[in-house]
Amino acid sequence: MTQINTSRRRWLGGMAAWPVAATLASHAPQAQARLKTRAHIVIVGSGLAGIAAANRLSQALDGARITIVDGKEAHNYQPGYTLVATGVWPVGKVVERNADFHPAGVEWVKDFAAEFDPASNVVVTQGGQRLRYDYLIVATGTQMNFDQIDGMDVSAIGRHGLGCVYPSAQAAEATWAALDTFRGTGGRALMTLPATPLKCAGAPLKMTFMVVDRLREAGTLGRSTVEFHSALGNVFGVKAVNDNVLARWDKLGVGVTYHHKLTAVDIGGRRATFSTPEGAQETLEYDFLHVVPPMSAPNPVRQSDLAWKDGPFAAGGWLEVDKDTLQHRRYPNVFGLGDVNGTPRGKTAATVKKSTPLVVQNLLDVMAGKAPSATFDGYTSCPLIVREGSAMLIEFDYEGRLTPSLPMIEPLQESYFAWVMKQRMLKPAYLAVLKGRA
Amino acid sequence: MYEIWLGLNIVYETLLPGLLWWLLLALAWITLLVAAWRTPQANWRRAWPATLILGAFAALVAFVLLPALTASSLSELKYWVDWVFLGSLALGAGAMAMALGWPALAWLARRA
Repeated sequence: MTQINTSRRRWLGGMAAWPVAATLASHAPQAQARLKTRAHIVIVGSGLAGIAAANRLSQALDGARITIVDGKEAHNYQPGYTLVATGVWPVGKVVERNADFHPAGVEWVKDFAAEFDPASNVVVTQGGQRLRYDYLIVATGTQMNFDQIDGMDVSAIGRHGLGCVYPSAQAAEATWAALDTFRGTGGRALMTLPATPLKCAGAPLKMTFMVVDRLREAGTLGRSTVEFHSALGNVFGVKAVNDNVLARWDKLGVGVTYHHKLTAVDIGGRRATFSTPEGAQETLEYDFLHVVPPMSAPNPVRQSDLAWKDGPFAAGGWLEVDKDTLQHRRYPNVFGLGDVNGTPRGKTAATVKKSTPLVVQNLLDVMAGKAPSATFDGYTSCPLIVREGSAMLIEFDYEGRLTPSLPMIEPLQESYFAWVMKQRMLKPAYLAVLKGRA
Repeated sequence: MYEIWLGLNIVYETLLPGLLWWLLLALAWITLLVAAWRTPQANWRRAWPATLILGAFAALVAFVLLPALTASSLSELKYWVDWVFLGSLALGAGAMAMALGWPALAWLARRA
């Protein structure tokens, strides 16, 4: 039945898309001739980055063998998690199926990568399958290290005032359950930020804004406190945005404590323990706690020769790619895409949108025996919700320069337009990127 | 040009889940258009003022309701881009109502 529905949907979609495709054929991703090759390309990971790359490569190559390695059946629209976790969207809006987006003719190994051996051009799966490749795209995403927070139990999210937007769609839904209960009574909310690079580094800020907004709506803000505990010396890596957010929080009464790293939680007792760089510890009681886990590259990447060996990205084992070409610095037949990359910024869907065509182009260049020709500027974007109904559309590059795509948009101006972008337009844009069209 | 291409893709992906209904609506509109066109008594000119009123009404309704339908409110419009954006959406809704309504109104305004 699913097969029939999918086919019909694709046929209807194709019929409707034809006039658009015909009109703008020259702007479609693959207007150029397809490259003939017998190469085997392995893509590890089937999030937005992996599937978008597979779709683009299958359009661009003639005769290539493309293999996707990922054990996940579900495809989650992760940029929607904050909307689910704050009661704006039902969880069903973020859950899709990977199979619906794979291009025809692509092999899918339903298993997780366990080991990378780039010297032998081999990926080994958890089931023991050895996959030889000519070219590799690493798009595994991040690993959430909840085990670095003593007492943390992901299965407890949603109960005892415990929230976390990151691990899954279900965790986002459970976070809303906890937040919904909390706003009824009010109390003390602790919002956290670890010291590691994060995917969607704006999510902890969005959650904070929305906790305040939900308390205000419920009439319990007056008897509540919302505190943000950052393990860093700031709350966001781009200074202009950081300063803007802090000014807004000052007006909203959100207190900020710096260099306060969440190290332990007593879920039943509702107590969170924070440590400082000097080694001091402080335990605080809470009514609602939003946990943000420290993140790293997944262990198979981290423990392989693909990871950075020194420098700022070595601790997290992030993929050692050139930040301009996203080609691996030591293995030229390996490219990185998405959150796993050890680059200065950009662990967002917006980064994937901008960098996927670039990585595909650079891979095609390498396959044709040329040097990578496309350069990435580190573009990323964060539609920063400031309350239900209003957001800021913040875009920036590697250097932290604000780079609005639409020149008339003032990045630090809260607006209805940015909210509609977040709430209604970004998922359609995501789907177009996923299908390799945009 | 990429932004236009992306915008078209957003529209396409937005319409895709309800594609069958959109196609049925288009079919109904084309049928109505052909029926009105082939009816010699259909009075297109006389229907124009009513069509304009219909379009203006639809635009007004869209302008008032769209913020609420997008989990926001008119009070959130504090930036000129917001007013232009909402105004454009409302004008689009008005134009669509006019396009859909004109054949029907022309047919209803048949000459005796």
